[in-house]
Amino acid sequence: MTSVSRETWRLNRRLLALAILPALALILAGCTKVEQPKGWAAPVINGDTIYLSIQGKHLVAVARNGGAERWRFPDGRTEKDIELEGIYGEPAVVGDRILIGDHGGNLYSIATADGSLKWTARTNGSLIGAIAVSGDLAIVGSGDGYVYAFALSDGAQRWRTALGDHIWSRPIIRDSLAYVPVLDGRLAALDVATGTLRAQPAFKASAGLPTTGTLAGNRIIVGSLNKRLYAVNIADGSTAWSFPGENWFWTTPLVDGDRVYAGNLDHVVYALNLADGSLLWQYDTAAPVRSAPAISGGMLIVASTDGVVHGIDAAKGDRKWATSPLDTNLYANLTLDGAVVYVQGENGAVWTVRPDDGSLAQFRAKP
Amino acid sequence: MITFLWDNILVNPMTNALIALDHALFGNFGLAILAFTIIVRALTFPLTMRQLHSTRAMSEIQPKIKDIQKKYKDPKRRNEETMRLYKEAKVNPLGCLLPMVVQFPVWIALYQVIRLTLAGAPENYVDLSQRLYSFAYIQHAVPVGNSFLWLDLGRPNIVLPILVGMSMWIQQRSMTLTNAATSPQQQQMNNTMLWMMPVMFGWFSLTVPSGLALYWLATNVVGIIMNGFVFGFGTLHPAKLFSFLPFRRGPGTTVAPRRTPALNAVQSQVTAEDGDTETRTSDGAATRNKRKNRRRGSGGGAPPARPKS
Repeated sequence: MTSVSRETWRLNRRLLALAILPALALILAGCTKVEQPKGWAAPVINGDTIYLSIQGKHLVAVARNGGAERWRFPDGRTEKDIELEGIYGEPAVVGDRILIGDHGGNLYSIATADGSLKWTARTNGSLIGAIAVSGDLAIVGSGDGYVYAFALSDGAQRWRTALGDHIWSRPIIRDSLAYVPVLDGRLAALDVATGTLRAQPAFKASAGLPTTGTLAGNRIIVGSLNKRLYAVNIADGSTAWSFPGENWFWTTPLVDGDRVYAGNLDHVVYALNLADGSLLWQYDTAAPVRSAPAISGGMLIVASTDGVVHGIDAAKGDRKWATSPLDTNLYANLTLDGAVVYVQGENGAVWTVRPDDGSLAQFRAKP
Repeated sequence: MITFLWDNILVNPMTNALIALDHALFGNFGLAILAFTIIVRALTFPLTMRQLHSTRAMSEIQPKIKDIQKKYKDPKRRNEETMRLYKEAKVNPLGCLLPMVVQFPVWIALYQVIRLTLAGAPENYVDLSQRLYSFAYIQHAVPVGNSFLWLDLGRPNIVLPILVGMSMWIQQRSMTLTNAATSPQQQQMNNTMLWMMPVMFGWFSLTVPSGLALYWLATNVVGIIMNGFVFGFGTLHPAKLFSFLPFRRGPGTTVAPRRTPALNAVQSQVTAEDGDTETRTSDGAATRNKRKNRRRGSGGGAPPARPKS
């Protein structure tokens, strides 16, 4: 190669690099931009209406029979300035209103009749957990570390209490107390009327409690990021038992009789004895399990994040059926409605599954 | 297979290291990003220094290459002289490429790592859970905090892209001052790079979490400091940085590079058409028999400073 052509090649190489760099920047931007929260709120059934969160951007009310859309919020006309940022907690239906919280930290009260907005309340952090209702109060934990109580009638803030770390769970209401799992590992107890933090020997795990617990008698069953599932005595905060998994417990445990069923991000669904936490059986789904299971007629239905729905014998842990992978991630809890289970995908599509044989039918196509 | 190797050799180890740093630095993820950047730059320091020295050496011998191109008509002889020059200066023309090729996947992996660990959406934590090692020290550090100074590290920020662009411009400009172009085309190329890179990366920083932009800013600052140690901190003087402005323009917009082994090792013979010769010895003394005056000034390299006797 002559020196002239070498110089030309050097300049051409630089030109090529200059041309590639913008394209590379575009690709990198696509690979690395912020993942927009989509939400994983499960379908909620109320009467003849099902409320669905569609890709975290809309709450849609559809007919239970047939799936015809009745209204959606926001509709882009009357609520022009509202943009939902991902709905993670299941909506709460209270009388003629439905409450939703989004990742942007806003709580909305919407009329169930027509989807019109009644009021908005704001927090300074993401609302990941669902909303608890007690009396005339809506109680919700926020990513800013506070538990808020808003009046159901007009959204006025009645109290808020600092718990010191993110709250991604729904408060559990029992005997005028709200039990709140916190991401610093504590299970805090607040007075529902005033928000006063109860001074008691509090339960504290070595890592965060990311999910809503399940009340079982005088215990709360709750999973932790330290890979353990705990049964906590609510009277004194002591640990009744704990069970170790191989990864995070991030599903809301299902209690059925004397058993506890909990999925884990280690791909396994565990069935434990409610009394002492001993293992009854375990089932490998081959993918992380984030959504809470459902049970119907002795069949445990579990959705794994790879889009497969499994039917498992609740007594023995044997696989009875499994669907072929749906073309979406499954993070949302399963919703049992009599003879069918509603399964909502991350892409906004909804299916019904029959627990007895696993037959799948699409209820709503992805938008 | 490629994804498996990519994840297990680069992304997952970096992810766990960043989370461990966050835990060690009092749960401050911004400090963890800064510390991680410094660690990565330290690990790639030999490659970076090799790249800088190679770049500078190439620049220093460019005038001599140009002289060879002028003086030798025979392409074969021209190539021989050029390769001899490279050998004496211990310069590999492709030497500047290899360090960049090695570093580039590291930077790409870092982008992914910061995206994973910041986990703006809870769905991302499910992915993160599959990448964490079993050590309790790491498991108990999740989730990481998003706040650093006034920043939400999980969301884009308007200030950081400006700082990223400015710091990159300063870095590019200081390199331009020490590596003078040898042709008008190359000068144009340098000018394009000088403005295009900062604008591009500033725009890029607008679209990503500010944790990524913080990483780029820290990388640029470390790069400026490293350039300063190699080329001298004089290039950072505002008078030199902004010498391209009309009211700043004065005699000499380039900075004389320090004498390096590459320059000292070269003893070139430039044969004029009329047979005159100029010989420069390693101590910088010059003897000239007959030589036409050559224009020296802006756009060309200033002659190296002669050592004081």
